[in-house]
Amino acid sequence: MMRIKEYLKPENIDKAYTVLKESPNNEIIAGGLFIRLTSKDINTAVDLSECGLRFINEHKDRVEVGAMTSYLDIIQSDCFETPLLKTVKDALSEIIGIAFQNMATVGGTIYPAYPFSDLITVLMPLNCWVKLYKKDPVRLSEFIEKKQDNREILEKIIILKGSGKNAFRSFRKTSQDFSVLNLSVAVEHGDCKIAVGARPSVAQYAKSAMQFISGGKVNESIIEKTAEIACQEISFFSDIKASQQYRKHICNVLLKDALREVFV
Amino acid sequence: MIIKINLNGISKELLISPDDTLLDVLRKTGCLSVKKGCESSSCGVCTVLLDGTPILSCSYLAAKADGHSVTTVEGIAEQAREIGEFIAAQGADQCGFCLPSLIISTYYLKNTIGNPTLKDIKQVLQANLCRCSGYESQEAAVARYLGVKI
Repeated sequence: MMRIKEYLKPENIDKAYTVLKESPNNEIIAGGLFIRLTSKDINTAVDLSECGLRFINEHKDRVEVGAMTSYLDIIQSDCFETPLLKTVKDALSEIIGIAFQNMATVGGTIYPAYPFSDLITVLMPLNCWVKLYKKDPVRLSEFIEKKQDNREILEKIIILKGSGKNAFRSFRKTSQDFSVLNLSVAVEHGDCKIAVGARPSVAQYAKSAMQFISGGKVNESIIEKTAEIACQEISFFSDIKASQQYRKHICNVLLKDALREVFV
Repeated sequence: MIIKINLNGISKELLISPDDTLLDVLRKTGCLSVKKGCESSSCGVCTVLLDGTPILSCSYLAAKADGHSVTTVEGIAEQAREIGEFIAAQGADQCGFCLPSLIISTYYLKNTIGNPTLKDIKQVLQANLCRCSGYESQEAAVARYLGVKI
């Protein structure tokens, strides 16, 4: 359990940022779902609830989602009804239950880059950008790959609208559990992106597989070969939920299934 | 620190520690319908309504609830009795430990979602773990209570 000396709800992000930078023992609190699962001594817990970061704004070319937006907000949002974004909504709907979805936040998931996250995996193949406070936006994939805990505040994510197709797959032993493996595929103008997460490490691109399948005509043998390449290049590990071999096998099955959905 | 919450329709000022969970604070105030289960956001027995929507009070800091309204079974006693008795009469309750959270979820389905579908019911109840009565009987009982065909 986290031990907290002081609790602060700043009224804006600038104040929150200032307090965060005052001491290495000050921490941001988002949904708070990990308070019981983390052993940490926090000097000042900075709650972003009052900073105006709970929003979903739709623009002509993009949807912007504030860091404190909950999974339930996304599930209930009309902005996530386009084919590409509906996949995000459907992926989040599968996670545990409504009380959990009401607490888990976009920023609280993406900033720590939780390895089991379904949200990161489903967003990664989309044209999704992360905006940290006082920083320029970076692609989600780049943010995840180069993640360093520089004690910043995630302000919002920006999802550029697209006309392609995508599919998400996850495998979990019960609906209450984290994914044993999850993956997501998106294709637009022949360019295919494949992200595999909960390996159990955080999502990564299957770059060789993406290169192999992009551009050309796709049939069943291409799909099988793509899944084979992805399973070779992705690093899988064993943990309490599943062995490395099991994850590799699941990845092969789910990826072929997802590729068939977007290409056939 | 002091927080102000509207607990079951009554404004309350509570003296808490910054790391107190809402679950512990609610139980200290006498809301014993809110149960301690897994304490890791998994079992759902600590479910309460925050501004009308379910949350897991075991993983929610009481400090975060400052300025919000919290509803437990104690605050909806009449409807809770009706829901609980209906579920029991359907044979969908056994030891009763998870019943308060099931009542809260059913109350949410009826009062916030309004005309829930079977899919809504499944989605809301999937977070309510029960170790003795099984899930199908509970799902069926809640669906019957809400007038949803199964």
